[in-house]
This record gives sequence, structure tokens and C-alpha cells, in this order.
Amino acid sequence: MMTTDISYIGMAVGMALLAVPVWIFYKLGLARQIGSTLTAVARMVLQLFLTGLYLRYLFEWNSPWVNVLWVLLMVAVASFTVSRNTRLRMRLIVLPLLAGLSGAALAVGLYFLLFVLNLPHPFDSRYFIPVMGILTGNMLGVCVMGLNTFYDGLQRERQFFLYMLGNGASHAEAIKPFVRRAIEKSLAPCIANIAVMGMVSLPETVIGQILGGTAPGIAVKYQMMLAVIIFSASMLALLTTLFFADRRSFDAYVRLRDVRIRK
Amino acid sequence: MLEVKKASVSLNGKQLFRDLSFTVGDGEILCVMGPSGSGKTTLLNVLLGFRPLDGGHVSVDGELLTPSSAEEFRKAMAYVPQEAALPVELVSEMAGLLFGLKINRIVKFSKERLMEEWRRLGLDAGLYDRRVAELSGGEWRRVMLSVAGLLARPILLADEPTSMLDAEATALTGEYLRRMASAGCAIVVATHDERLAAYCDRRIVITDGMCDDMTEEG
Repeated sequence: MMTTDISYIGMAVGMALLAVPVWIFYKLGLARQIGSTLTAVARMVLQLFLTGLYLRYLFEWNSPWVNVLWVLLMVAVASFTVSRNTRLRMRLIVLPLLAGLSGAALAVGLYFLLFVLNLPHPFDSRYFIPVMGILTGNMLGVCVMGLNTFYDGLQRERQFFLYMLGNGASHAEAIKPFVRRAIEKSLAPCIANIAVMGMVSLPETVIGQILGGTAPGIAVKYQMMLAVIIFSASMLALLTTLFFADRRSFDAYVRLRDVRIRK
Repeated sequence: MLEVKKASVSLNGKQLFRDLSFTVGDGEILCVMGPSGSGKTTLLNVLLGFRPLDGGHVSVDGELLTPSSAEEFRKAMAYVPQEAALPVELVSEMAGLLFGLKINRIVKFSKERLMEEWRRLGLDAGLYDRRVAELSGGEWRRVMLSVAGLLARPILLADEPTSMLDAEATALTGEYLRRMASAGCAIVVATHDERLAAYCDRRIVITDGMCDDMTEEG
């Protein structure tokens, strides 16, 4: 089945729909929202245009080395984004994030490509790039929430941390409640999302695949696998990041360093 | 034996104490007194390895407390903080919190033993199933102290254990500490409370960065 292309006129007709929310913003006196909506849409158009462009070249070259380098670049951008969104100091968090995100994306992504899809060439652009992209994008959100929960907890409940240490807990034991809470809180939306998938929401991946000509049966199988690998990779990425970040977060007297950039 | 020799600490440019020296032997209770902000809690933090000294040193049984050895030293200590927000809902969970630690695997938690400690501290057994938020400050501290009693470590560090306690509860706490000391525990108590100080073997007073051993006068 061929995918129906969207003509430029069709794109313009689609974009014209934005006039409705912009008009409502205007009527409600929300001028700031008009500006931010138009800026966001302009950014999206530019970013996706560039994405289409680089994906075309990545697919044409289809080089494993270029693809891996591309994924590492995505991970680096994601790491800086997490650092900015959590206000955690780059020198503290970027290296743990690079290790966590790239390690989890490559380990889980390659497991999926090699053992689930049984691809003879797992670094094939058509599969490798989208799978790594969807993993990195989802891990980013989990890491932001997980790291915020972890460091907020340590800053707020320092006395509890010291109580555990002062009564003979090892560092790993004293830190465990904070890690547990970070994982619980950051993965809760992911679990809730999985639970209602197909009933409350039809994931964009399924819609994309169906529109792209894939049979619905295949599209939902892909979605099931994607949900599982996103969940697993997110947990792995957060745990690895916390493991490496924890070692850099305390001084010799178990005092939490100045980990956050002040507003 | 816990020994502090010529210890000095300053905080934000202010000298909290200078050339502080004392020893606490097994079975002894040392009381650290002084006004608020004088450095009593800071001294406990130094003994726990949570804060560096500007000068001097701390040793336990002749071995120096260093950042690398502190975790091992703390396995011989029980610590009762003045306050701490614990991530538990029920008093029963609060009492059992430390018994999941690897170091405490040999010390099995026993509700019967805990109730025995509570009886000595004048705590009602009915508190066990209550919420932590329902405890008064004094009850909270005595629950924490009873847990330290169950752990039966060689060293106990307690920060203001009788704060917000009436005379009767303070006396019970003092007797409780004496009982722990008679079992061989070396105890350091930071307190404002003269009533509690009466149960201690020795006392030092920190005022304006200077430390006086007031044992003779006490």
C-alpha cells in the first residue's frame, strides 16, 4: 500500500487550522499565548524540516558508523537538555547522563533489533535511527523527573539520610530510599500510559504506521514492543545515571555538594 | 573509648569551638552543654564523620576517624537526632526502620523487647500502631532513643533527647541512659537541659568558642 503524500497546498490548509486557537487566544486576551504558539509551530516546522533532510541523508548513506555517531549526538543533546531542565550542574551530571542514556539506548535498542526483529543488520538506518530516537526521547523525560525527585529528596530530607548513616547504614543503603522514590515517581506515568494504551489513547506510532501503509496487526505488535523497550530503557538509563551521579554528588564527609544552579 | 583531642571547628568564619579535648570511656556519659548555636550539634556531626575539623582529631579505641574510615566507625554508633522527617507513616515502621540494614541483620527486631524499652521510657504501648504525625516531639525522641537502646551499640550520640519533655519523662530518660551506660555504652549527649545533665558523669560547656570542663562543679 502506498502512503498518500501531503502536498504543500495540503500542508498550508492544515496549518490554517491554527487560526482557530489563535483567534480564541485573541478573544480571551491571551496575547502571550499567541506569540508562544506561533514560535513553537515555527520551531517545529524548522526542526522537522531539518529532521527530514538529515534522515534522508542518513538513510541514503546507511553507514553503521555514521548512524552510531548520530545516536551519540542525539544522546549528547538529550544530556544537555536534562541538565538544563533539572538545573543540575553540567560538570556533575553530563557524564553520568551520557553513560546512562547511551548505555541504555544501545543495550535495549540492539536487544530489540537483534533478538526481537531478528535483523541481520541491526545498524540499518531504517530501523536503528528511529528506534534509538524514540528511546532517547522517552528516556529524557524519565531522567528529568527522576533526577529532580532524587536531588529534591536529598536536599529536603537530609536529616533522614544522616540518621540512616549515623546508625551504621552504608552509603548505598542510605541512598536507597531516594533512588526508590525517584524510580517510582518517574516511571509512574509510563506505567499508567502502558495500562491504557489502545483503550484511552491510540499511540502516534500506531497511527503513523497505519497511515504509512502498515497493517494494523503489525502496527500494534510494534507498539507493544516499543512500550516494553521504552519502559526498560528508561529505568536502566535513570539507574545508571543515578549510579554515576551519586558518586560525584557528595564530598568526603557525605555532604551533598552544591549540585544545582541557583535561579 | 571515644577521644577528641584539640578539636577546632569554625562555621562561616565564626569559631564554634577551639582546642576541645575530652575522652568518653565505656560506661560513661558525657554531657555537652552550651547555648543555641554554640556548636553542640556540630560536635556530634564531627564525631559521626559528617563534618571536618579545622584542627585536632577524633579517635575511637585509638584509631583515627577519617573520611575513609568513618563509615566503618559508624557501625559501632547509634545516633538519635534532634529531629528528622522520616519517610514512614506508622510508628511501627519508624521503630523498625534501622533493622533492615545489613549491619543490623544479627540484631533481630522484636516488638516485645521494644515494648520493654518503651516501658522504661514511660511510653504507652498503644503508640506502636499510631501514625508518626500523631506523636508529640517528646514521644518521637523517646521512640528514637528506644530504637538506639535496642541496637545496643558501643557508642551512643544523642542530640537534645529531653527537649520538650516534662520532669518525669526527663528523669526516665536520664535513668534509661544510665542503664545503657551500665551495659558498657559510651554516651555523648548534647543538651540544654540541666535536669538531664544531673544523670551524666561529666559535662563540658561550650560558650563563645571556648570549652570548659565543668565536671568538678557538676
